[in-house]
Amino acid sequence: MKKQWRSIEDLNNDKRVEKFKFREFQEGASELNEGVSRRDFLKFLGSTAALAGLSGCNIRKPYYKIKPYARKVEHSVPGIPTFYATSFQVNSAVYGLLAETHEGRPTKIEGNPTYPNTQGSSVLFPQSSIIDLYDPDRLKFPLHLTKTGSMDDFKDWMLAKKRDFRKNSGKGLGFLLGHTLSPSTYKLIDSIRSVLPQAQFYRYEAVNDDNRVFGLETLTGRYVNTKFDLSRANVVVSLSDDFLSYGHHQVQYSRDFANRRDPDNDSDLNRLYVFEERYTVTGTKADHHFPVKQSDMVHVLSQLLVLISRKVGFDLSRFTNIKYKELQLDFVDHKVLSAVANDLVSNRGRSLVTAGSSLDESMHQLVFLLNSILGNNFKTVFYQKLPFSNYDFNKVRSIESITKFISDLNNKKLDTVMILDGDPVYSVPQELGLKLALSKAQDRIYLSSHDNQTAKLCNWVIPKLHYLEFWNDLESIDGVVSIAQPVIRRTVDGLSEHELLNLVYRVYRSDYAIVKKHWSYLSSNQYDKAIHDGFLYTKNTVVYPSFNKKITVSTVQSSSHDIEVTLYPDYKVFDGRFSNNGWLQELSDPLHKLTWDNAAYIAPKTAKKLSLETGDFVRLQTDYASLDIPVFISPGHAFDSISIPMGYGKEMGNRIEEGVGFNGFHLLNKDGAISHVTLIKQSEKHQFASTQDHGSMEGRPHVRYATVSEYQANPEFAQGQEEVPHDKALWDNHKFDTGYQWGMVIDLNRCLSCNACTASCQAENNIPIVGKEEVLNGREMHWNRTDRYYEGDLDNPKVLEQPVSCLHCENAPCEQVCPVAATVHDDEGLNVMVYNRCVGTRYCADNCPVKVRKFNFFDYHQRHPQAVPKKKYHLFDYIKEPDKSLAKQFNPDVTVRMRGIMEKCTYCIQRIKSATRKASNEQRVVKDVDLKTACQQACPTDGIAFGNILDKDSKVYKWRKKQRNYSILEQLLLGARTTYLANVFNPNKALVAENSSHDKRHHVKKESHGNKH
Amino acid sequence: MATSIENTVQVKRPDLVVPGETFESVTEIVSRPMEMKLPSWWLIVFCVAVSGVLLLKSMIAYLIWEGIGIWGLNNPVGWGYAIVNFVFWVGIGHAGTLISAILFLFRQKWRTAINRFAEAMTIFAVICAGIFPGIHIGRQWLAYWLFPIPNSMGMWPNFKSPLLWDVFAVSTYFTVSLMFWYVGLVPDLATMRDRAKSKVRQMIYGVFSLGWRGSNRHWQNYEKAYLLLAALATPLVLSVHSIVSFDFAVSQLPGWHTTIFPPYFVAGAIFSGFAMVVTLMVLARQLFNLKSLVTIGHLERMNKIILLTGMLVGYAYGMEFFMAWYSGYQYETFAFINRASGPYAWAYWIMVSCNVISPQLFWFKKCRTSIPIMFIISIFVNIGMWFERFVITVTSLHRDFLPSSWGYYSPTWVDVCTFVGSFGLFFTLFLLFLRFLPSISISEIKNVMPEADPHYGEEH
Repeated sequence: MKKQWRSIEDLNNDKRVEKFKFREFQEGASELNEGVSRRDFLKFLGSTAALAGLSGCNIRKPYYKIKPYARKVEHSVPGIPTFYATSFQVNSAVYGLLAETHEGRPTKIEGNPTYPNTQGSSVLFPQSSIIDLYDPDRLKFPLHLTKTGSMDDFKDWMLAKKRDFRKNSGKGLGFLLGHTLSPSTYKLIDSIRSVLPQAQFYRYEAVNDDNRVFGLETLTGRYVNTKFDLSRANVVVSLSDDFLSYGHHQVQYSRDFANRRDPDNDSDLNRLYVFEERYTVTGTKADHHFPVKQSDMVHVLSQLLVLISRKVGFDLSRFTNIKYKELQLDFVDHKVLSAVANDLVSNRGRSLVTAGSSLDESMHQLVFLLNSILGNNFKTVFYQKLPFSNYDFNKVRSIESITKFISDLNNKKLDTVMILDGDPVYSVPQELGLKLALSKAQDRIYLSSHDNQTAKLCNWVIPKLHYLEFWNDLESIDGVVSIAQPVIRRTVDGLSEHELLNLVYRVYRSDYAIVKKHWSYLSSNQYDKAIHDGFLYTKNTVVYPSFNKKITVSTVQSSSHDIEVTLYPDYKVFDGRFSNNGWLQELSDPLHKLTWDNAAYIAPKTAKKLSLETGDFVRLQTDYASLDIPVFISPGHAFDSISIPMGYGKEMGNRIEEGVGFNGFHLLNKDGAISHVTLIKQSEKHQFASTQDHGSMEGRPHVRYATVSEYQANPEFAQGQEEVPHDKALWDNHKFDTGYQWGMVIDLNRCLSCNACTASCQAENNIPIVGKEEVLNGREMHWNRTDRYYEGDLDNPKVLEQPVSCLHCENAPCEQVCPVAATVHDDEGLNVMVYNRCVGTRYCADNCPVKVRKFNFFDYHQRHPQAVPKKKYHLFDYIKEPDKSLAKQFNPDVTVRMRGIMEKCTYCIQRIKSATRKASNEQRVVKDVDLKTACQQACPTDGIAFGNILDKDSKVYKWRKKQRNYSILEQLLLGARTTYLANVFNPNKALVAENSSHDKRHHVKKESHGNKH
Repeated sequence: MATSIENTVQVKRPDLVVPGETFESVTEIVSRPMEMKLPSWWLIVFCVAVSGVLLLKSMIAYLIWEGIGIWGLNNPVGWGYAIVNFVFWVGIGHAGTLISAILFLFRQKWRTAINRFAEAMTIFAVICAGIFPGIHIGRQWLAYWLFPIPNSMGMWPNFKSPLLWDVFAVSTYFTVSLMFWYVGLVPDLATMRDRAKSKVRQMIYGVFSLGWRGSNRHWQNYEKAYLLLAALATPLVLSVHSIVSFDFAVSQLPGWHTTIFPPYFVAGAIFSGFAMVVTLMVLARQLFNLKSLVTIGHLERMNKIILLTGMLVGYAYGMEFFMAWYSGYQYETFAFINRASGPYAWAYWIMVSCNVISPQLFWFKKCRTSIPIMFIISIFVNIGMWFERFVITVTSLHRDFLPSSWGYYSPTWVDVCTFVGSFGLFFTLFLLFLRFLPSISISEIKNVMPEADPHYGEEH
C-alpha cells in the first residue's frame, strides 16, 4: 500500500484539506461498517440477497489527495521523518526527548540520547504524551463564562484588568502555580513582583516531595533534592519508596539499578530489600519484599536504626528519641531486621536507605541519620540544592500554600486569581472548601488544556498549549537546564504559561520572545546548539548538608489493626493529568493488569476477614467524607491496609476519562492525609477489565529464575527445564544462515514491567484502543504485553514478569495453518503479516502458543470514543471515521489495519527497512546503532537487545550466547527469534530459608531434566 | 410366502417391508405425501422453519455489516460457535453417505428404506455446515480467496493448511453426495412424472427425470452408475471427517494435537448422523404413515449402530485421557484435567452423559424398539455431539500454554441465533424435500420386496 501523508496545510486546519474525498483503492478489498441504525439495518436486511455478490461490488475506501509542496520545505524529504529535541515536564520530572515528525506532524516521542538524565530512553508518560497533543477533547478556544470566546477578547479584557492591577499595585491578585521548573516563569514572577508588589503566589501539587524536602530542611536548614547513585550501592533498602516508577530520576535510577542486576557483569549483584504497604514496581524487583503498613514503617526504620547503631557502636540517643522495642509485625521480625541490618553494616558506604515521599518528615530525617551512620551520605546518596527554593511559595509545603490560598480567598484578600496548572478543584482536599472559596473571588482565570471541574468555576478558561506547541525552558531538580522547542504550530487558540503571566503586567509577547529574551546572554550559536541538543548545560548543585539537631519521632505507637488507606499516584494517569489519554487508560496496570479503572487494593487475608471479593463495592467513611469504591484483591499487599491510585473518577465528561474509576482525593483531609477510615461493605458489584486473569504460572517454566548461588553453581540453570523432542520435520527447515537475521533478546533481570515498551509500540504501530467493554471481552490490541505471575505464598508472593510479543519463530505454527498464506516467513527470519491477503480465519491465532496475534474484531479506529460521524457516506461505506485530529498521529510508515484481519508484532519492520535501505545506500551493513525497535528504544533499562543474530558484534548475538538465554516453549521446536535471559535474584542467605519454596522446585527440575538439553 | 428347499433349514430373515404390501401400495404410500392435500401441520412447521432461515439471514447480514466482534470470540478463543456448528453439521451429514454407499456395497438391504432420507439429510446438513466457514472469517467478502483460483499475481492458497484441505474435502463431499442422491432419484422422479396430474408438475418432474423410461438399458446404466458412485463416495465417508479433524489435529494446541482424532471424528460423525436420522425418521414415519416401509426393525438396526459408535466415541474419550497421562506431557495432561474439572467441566459432563451413558440403554431390546425412548436418546446424542465439538474447540483454546493468556468464552445472542437459524434452514429444506420428493426410494424398496424375486410365487 502506498504510504500517504497529510500536508502542512492540514496541520493548520486549512479549509481546503477539510474536503478530503474518498477514492477506491482496491476493488473488493473493503468492508461495511459499524454504527448502523435500526433503519439502515432494516434497509440492509432487505437487500441481503445481494450480499452474496458483494465481493464484486465497488466497496469504497477512504482516500486522500496527496498534495505536493508548492515550495519545498527546507530539510524536509517527504517520507523521511525529522527529529527535534525538546523537553517535557511532568510534576517534578523533566524528560529530555526527541519528537519524530513527518512532514511537520509529530507522530512519536523518543528519549533524547544526549540529554544527561534519560540517555535516549523514555518512560511511559512521554511515550503516551504524543496523543494528548491530538486529543479532540482539548479546549480549542478560550471560554468566557463557559461560552466560547476569542483570544482577542481575552487580551482586551486583560488590558483593562492590567490597569486595575497597576492602580492598586497588584493587591488582590493571586496566582496558583503547580510545580514550576521554568527559569523564564520565575523571571516573569520577578517582573510581576517588581511592578505589582502586592501580588501573591501560591502553589499546589497533589503529588509532591514535600515530606522529604521539608523534613531535611528542618533538620539541616537546606532545601535539597536527594539523589542516589544506584550504580555504587550494593544494598538498597526502600521503605515504601517506588523510586523506579516516578520522579525526575526514574530513568537514571532504572538504568543504574538494572546495570547492577547483571550477573555476568564484573561487579556483584546488588540486593534490594523493600518494605512497603502495597506491591510496587520497585517491590517486584526486590530480593526480599515485606508487606508493612505505612503506619508501621516507623517501627521498621527505628528498629533498623537501633540495631545498626548498636553494631557500629553509635550513640543514637544523642540524635533521636527512639528506643529499642522488640518488634512483631506480620512479615517482619527481629530475624529479618537483624539480617537487613547486618547486610547494611557490612556494606557501609556502599548501601543506601530511602523512604517514600508519602512517609512523614521524621522518617526522612531518620533515613538521613541512618545513611549518615552507614557512611552512605555523599557516597551513594547525594544532595543537590533544589532550584528556585529561594522563592517564598516554594518555602512552604504545598498543602500549607493551598490552605493559605483558600483562607485568603475566604477572607476576601484575593479578588482576581489565576490558576496556571492542574485541576485544583478536583485534587485539593474537599475539606478545605476550595470550590466555595473560589467563588468569592471576582475574577478567576484558569489555564487548562481541558474543560474540567476547575474550569467550570472560572470565568476565563484559556486553552493551555501542549508541550510540543510552545517554547519553554526548564531547569530540572538535578540542575540540567534545557530549552524546549515546539515542533508544531499551535493547534488551539491558547497561551503558554509564560504568555499568560506576561499579559498580567505588560503587552503580549510571544512564548518565543519571552524565552529568547531570558536566554539573551547566549550567543546565537550557543542558543541554536542548546535547542539542537535538547539541553544547555548541567549545573553542579551538589551540597553537603549536616545537622546537629535531635530528631524527635512522635510517640511510637504499637501496631494497630485499624484499616489504613493510602493514596498513590497512578502508574498510568499519574495524578489525573493524563486521564483523558486513551492509550494510558487502556494500558494494563503493571501489577494488577487492570485497564480503564482504579480500585481499592487490599490483601487477600484482609479481604477474607472482611468477606470481600474482587469487585465488591465498599464505602470508605472518614470523619469528613466518604467514597464508594470497588475492591481488588492484591496478593502481597500489607494487611489491614487499602491503597488507591489517584487520578480517576473525573466528573466533567471528556470522552475518554468519563466514568472511569473512582476519585481517591475525596478521602483527603485538610492536611492532605487520610485518617480514621471505617469500611462498610456495599451490595453493589463492579466489573474490572483486567488483561490477565490467571496469576499462577501453574508450575510451567515460562519465567525462569535462580538465586545467585544457584546460578554460580549451575550457570546453565535456565536450560533443559523443558524436555525437547528430536526434530522430525517432514521437510528440511530453512537454514537462515546468510544476510540479516533479526532476533531479539529480553533480559528478564532488567525488566521492570514499566509498560514503556507497550506504549511505545502503540504509538509506533498505529495500534487502536478498544475500550473497557472490549478489554472485558479479551480483545485488547496491544502487540506487546507484560505477563505477571505470582509465585509462592499468597500473602507475600514473588512477582515474576515477562514481556511477550511475537516470537518470530523460524518454524512458526501460525504460518503452517493460514489457508491463504497471509502470514509467511521472509528470508531475514521475520514472520511477516500480509494484511492485504488476510481474510481473518483466526487459525493462526489459535495455533500461536503465546497468543500474541491480535484480531481486529471491529474497526476499532471507528469505534474510538472520539470518532466522528462521517460528513458524507455511501451505502457500502464507512459511517464513522477516526477523528481528523487523532488520525494525524498515525505513523505513515505503518498500515492502519481494517476490520477482520489479524495483526501482531512486526519487529518494527518499517524501522528495519529504513535502516537497511540507508545502509545499503551507504554500501555497508546495518549495525546495532542504526536500528532500534520501538520497544527497545523506550526501555529505560536497556533490557531489550535487537539486531542481526549473525553479526558477532551485535548485542543480540552476545546475549544469545549467554548461558541464561532460553526460549519459552522450546519443546515445540519453534526456533523462536525472541529469547529471554533468565532472572537471577540475589537473596540474603540469612533469610533464604524463609523464601525458599521456589528454590526447591528448581532443584527438582534440574535433577529431572538437567542433562537432557 | 418364503420358499423352502427340501432337506435344508431356511433361516427366515426379518421382513424389510411389512408383509401385505404390494408394488402398487408401496408407490401409493411413498407418493401420498407429495400428492395429498397440504397438511396444516406442514404449513405451520414450514413457517417456523422459514422464520429460522430469516433469522439466519439477518444474523449473517448483521455480521457482515458489523464485524466478527458481535460474536463472543476473544483472544485465546479465536474459534467458537461457528466452527462448532460447522463440525456439528458436517458430522450430521455423515450418515447419508455411509448408509447409501457403504451399506450398499455391503449389500445391506435394509438400507433401502432409509437411504433417500439419510442422503437428503446429508445434503441439507452439508449446506448448513458450508455456511459457517464462509461467514466465520473476518472479511467474508474475500472468502473466495480460499479457493485455488488462478490469478495474475500467481497467488495460490497455502496447501499446507488444513483449512484448505477442508475446503476441498467438504466441497468434494457435497458434490459427490448430491450426484449420488440425484442419480438414485431419477427412476422415482419418473414415477412422479407419470403420476402427475398437473402440467407444471409433469414438466418439472419430467425435466429432472432425464427422460427415464425404465427400459432395460436405462436400468443397466443406472445400476452401473449407482455402483460407481457408491464406490466413489465410500472413501469420502472416511476422508471428510478425517480432514475436518485435521483442522484440530494438525495444529499444536494441547487437546487438539491428537493422533486419535481422524477415527474418533469419523465414529462421532456416524454416531451423530444416525442419531439425526432416527430423530427425523421417527417423526416422518409417524406423520406420513410410512410405518409399513420403515419398520421397527429398521430403527432397531440404526439404534444398534448408535450403540456401537457411541461406545467407540466413549473409548476415544477414555483413550484421550490415557494418552494425556501416558505421554507425560504436562500441557496435554493439563488440557484434559481442565476439560473434566475446569471452568467448562459442565460442557464436558453434558457431553459424556449424552454420548456415552445415554446410548447404553440400547443394550436392551425394549429400549431399542421403543419409539419414545429412541427418540429421546437420539435427541440426547445430538445434544451430546454438539457439546463434543464445543468441548474440543473451546476448552482446548481457552487455556493453553501461557497461563497469562487464559480466558473464558461465552457466546452472545448473535451466536445462539445464528445456530438456531441454521436449524431453520435445515428444516426448511427438509420439509420441502418431504413434500416434493419421494422420501423413500420407491424403486429400491421394490427391489428388496419378495415380489422382486423372479421366482416369486413359483412352486417347487
